[in-house]
Amino acid sequence: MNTEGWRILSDWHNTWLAAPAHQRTELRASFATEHPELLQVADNLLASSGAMDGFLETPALVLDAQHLGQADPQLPEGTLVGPYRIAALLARGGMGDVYRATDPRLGRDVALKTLPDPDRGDGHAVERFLQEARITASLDHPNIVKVFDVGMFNGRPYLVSELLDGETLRGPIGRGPMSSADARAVATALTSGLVAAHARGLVHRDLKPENIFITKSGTAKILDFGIAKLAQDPALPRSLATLTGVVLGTAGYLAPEQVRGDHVDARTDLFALGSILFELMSGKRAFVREHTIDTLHAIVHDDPPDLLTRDDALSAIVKRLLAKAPDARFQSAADLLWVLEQIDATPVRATATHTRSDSRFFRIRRGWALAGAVGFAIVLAALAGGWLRERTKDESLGPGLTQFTWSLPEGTTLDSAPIVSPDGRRIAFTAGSGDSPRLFVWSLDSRVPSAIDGTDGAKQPFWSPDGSSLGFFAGGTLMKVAVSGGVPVVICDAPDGRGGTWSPTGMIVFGPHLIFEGLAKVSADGGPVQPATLVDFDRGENSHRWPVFLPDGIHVLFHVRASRDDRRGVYIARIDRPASTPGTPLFRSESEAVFVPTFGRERGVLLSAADGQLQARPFDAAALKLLGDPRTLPVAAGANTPYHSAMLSASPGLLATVAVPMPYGVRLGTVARDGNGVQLSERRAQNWPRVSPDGRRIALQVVDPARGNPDIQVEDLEDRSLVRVTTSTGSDSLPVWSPDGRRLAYATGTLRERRLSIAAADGTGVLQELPCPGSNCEPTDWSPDGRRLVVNTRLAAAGAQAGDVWSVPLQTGGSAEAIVFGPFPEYDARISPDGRWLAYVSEETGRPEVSVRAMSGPPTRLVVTSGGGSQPVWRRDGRELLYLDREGRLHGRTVSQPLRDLTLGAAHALSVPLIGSGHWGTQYDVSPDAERVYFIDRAPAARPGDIRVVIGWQAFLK
Amino acid sequence: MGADVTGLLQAWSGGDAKALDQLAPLVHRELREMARRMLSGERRAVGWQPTDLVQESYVRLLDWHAVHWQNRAHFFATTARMMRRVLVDAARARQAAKRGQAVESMSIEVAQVAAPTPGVDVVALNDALAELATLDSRPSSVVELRFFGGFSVEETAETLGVSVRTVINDWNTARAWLLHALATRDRL
Repeated sequence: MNTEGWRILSDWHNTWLAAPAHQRTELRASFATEHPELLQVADNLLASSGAMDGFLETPALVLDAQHLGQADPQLPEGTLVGPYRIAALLARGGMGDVYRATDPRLGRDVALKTLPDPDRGDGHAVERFLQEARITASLDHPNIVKVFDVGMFNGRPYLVSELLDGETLRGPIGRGPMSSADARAVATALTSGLVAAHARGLVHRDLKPENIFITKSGTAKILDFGIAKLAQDPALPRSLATLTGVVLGTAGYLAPEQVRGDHVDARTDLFALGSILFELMSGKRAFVREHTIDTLHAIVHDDPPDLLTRDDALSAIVKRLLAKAPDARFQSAADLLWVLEQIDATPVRATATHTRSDSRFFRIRRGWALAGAVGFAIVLAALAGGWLRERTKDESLGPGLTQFTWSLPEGTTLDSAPIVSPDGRRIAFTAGSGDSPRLFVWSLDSRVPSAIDGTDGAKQPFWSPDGSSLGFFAGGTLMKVAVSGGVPVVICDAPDGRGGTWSPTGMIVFGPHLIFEGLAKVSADGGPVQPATLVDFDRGENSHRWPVFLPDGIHVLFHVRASRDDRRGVYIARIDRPASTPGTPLFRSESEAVFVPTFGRERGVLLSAADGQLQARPFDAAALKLLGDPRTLPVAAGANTPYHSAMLSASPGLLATVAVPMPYGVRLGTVARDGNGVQLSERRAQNWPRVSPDGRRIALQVVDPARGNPDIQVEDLEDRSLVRVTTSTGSDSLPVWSPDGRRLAYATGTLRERRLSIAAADGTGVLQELPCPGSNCEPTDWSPDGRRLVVNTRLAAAGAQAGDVWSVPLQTGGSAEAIVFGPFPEYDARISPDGRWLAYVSEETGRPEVSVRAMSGPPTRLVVTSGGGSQPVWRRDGRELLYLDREGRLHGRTVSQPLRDLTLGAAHALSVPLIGSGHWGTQYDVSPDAERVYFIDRAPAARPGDIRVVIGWQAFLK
Repeated sequence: MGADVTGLLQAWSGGDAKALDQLAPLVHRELREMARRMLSGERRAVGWQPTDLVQESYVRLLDWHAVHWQNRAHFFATTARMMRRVLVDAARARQAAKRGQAVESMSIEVAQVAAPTPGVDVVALNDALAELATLDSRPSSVVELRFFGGFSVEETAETLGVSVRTVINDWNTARAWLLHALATRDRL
């Protein structure tokens, strides 16, 4: 068979696949008649077609991923880990695997636990772990699982401990309340172990039934001292146990100070012991609630239920152990042990037999211990994987309040503000790791946030009122997706969304575009999009964004961005009326606001960001009135930027903020020609640097985040003072100095209509406006005689159409004329200082290249680059021509003019950082002697990776 | 990735077939490291899906900027070919190790080999695919791009310069053909 045969076969095969059953026989028959030579193969295809479904649909790499991705490949029998020989895998866990191994030197079986790679660049984690493990190993106490050895294998630490036969305390608990005698015995055993450990400075921090082992012979032993240290960073005041507990739902054994992030010490272990004993005695947990955050709250605020037991003495002890304040508990395990030994002599009210105690070995009643024992099983530390170490605790700020920080896993950063769900149990956000961000939902009860499939490129999520779906922006559209998963649905177009909000009646109001558009409304089920608000350009507004529905589903809060200070603020719009321009602001603000009901459904606060802090204003959502003055809350909240909302969101119970704003915009850098002394400006969102003719000032486009529209500013290179040259409501770009340094030419206007403007460089105002030749133009140079501007005529956006270079006269009486033109784009032209040559970029080869041609006279032309080049700049003395190559590397070529022709020397690359922000136009300039380069720094700023969560934040309002 | 890989990539994309011999094990090591990070212990942490692995591998492994890709089609085709080579080599090494033979080109830890291979017999598929290519190269390319490269139907169409319908048709027939080839292989 040949290619033609295959094509015939394939066409027929696909027809057959698409055909209903009754036609298929006919299809085969006719094929047999027409192509008998292919029939055999055809039949083979048909035979396999039934099994085709899904075959090869999963990419090979994904299938293989399990192999490729085995971080902890199971160690096969016989592997030597140090001196120990692996015998069998006993259990796999998030924190490593446990094997039975043999110590050939001593001929005994041991438990060998491998721990995962602390691969997050923290070289000290392993050291700390080893250190703590060594201390634990030096403990020799019957109530602590004996650690024999610790070592490294394949770059990962492992722990060797005694192999035990029995079960964890979870077993007996599951079988019902323990007898008083048994409970006392366990209490004494554990306390005894704690005495030994505390004496050596070890605090467990994570005591819970899963960490306590009861051997077949009835001995209670504490497991996993020191494991917690593996993932800790001592630089931060943090308790891994807390995080573990929170994420695994075993928060019930945490002590209040752990929940609050306060100082943790030996008394913390005593609280945990109290919780455990409570559960042993009553069969119930002292503080558990349906949701983990409520459990945490209960630990800090609620009294434990009464212990309905006849053992008054132990009951009183447990009550004391569960005191909220560490100072109110037993102050040491030793104290507790003494008390326990004393009450051993105190009979329990009802008659119950119990075995006499031995101070070192406490035997649990046999029958109970043997029942349901699990075979050779070592309890695994129920610590989850290494990422948990990132969830830090902060100091709490008062009663009724819990704060902690969630850190995204390394390499992943936030791409939007975290948004709290209406029920206050989940937080939605977008995050990515250098690639397309996706939607994530983090439930407070789960260890990890879960991604929502199919939401690549998602931005600015917002919740549906019932919390079942999320609206978001992706790919130039407004979309929605069910949180539980499913196919995201496109609702309508939204070229560059600026926030959305979803009403209880299924209406969505959103900001469809970056600038110059008002809010729009659409049904969440799709349909026609209608305007909800209109931008009042005359009053200096340039954008409406970040809408938030009020509870009535009719009124919407939103933010107006304006170049006029008195228009910038939070407004209310009614969406059941035709769209109109905003009236008076509810309050002036640089940031948008969200409404959180704190008193009933319609009274609450408006939260916004001011100067990096959270601000709250009491608000009546029914009367649409502010009820009082703003208060600044002690929570940092990143301000909004031209591209992102303020980093705050809240429900009545939960507040989520990010302390820093999302970074945006590139910034100016300066460096000496030889690459030394790179300095980066702190100001962001700057573009198109142009050094003044005298080299003392630099003109830039700067986007003021508050005002939102780009202006031209001049910075004095000596004293760093800034002068704002333009104040128009339009978008000003690409400044060019006049030869005498007194004026700046630039492009201005709205997105749709651009023109040239000349302003005084000292900020005293616009002097002149000129129309563009054609619909759109940008100045690139000013002729040395001061009479003309050289401009690009091209659309000011990526994907520009073919453009030409024109020269525009500044005085009336002259006419604009094209000086470089052709079917291919030509742009970014610069006149040589002596006025004789024009350097420019041409794409006639299909790629930008720099050329130089004579300004007048015979059309001599020199091609400067052939491997790609752009952004030519002449040195002030005309003796060097600089440009960028394809990678953004700056090159210079010496220029000489022996006769009248121009010759260029060899190109030499300057060792300055790569230049180019992806914008159009020239992204750098040089000092008059070209010894200093001013450039737009390419490196993107680091995005935040931490979310601050505050439970009970309303306490701040009191 | 180091300069090694970029240089090798440049050489290979420029036509030096031998560069692939050196590239494949380097790439495989990178893939492993990436996959390990994504899938280790904390499986599904931050919601990593296996398909992320495919996407991420392109971004990370193949330095889009450093190598002079003639165009997107060139990039996709090269990537798919690379992936095929890497994964087939890895699968071959696994099989060889299982049979107790010496593993030549790939240094894979013995421990890793213990896990069973799920799904497709990639080595057999590779052979069958080579056979299919002798009949018609286009469906073979479709399979290489879609299965080994992980590219979508649209991307495959773009790479091959054909319509989406053509890709789908080729995809269907090729899979049926391969299934048959794999099934009958064992009988020989």
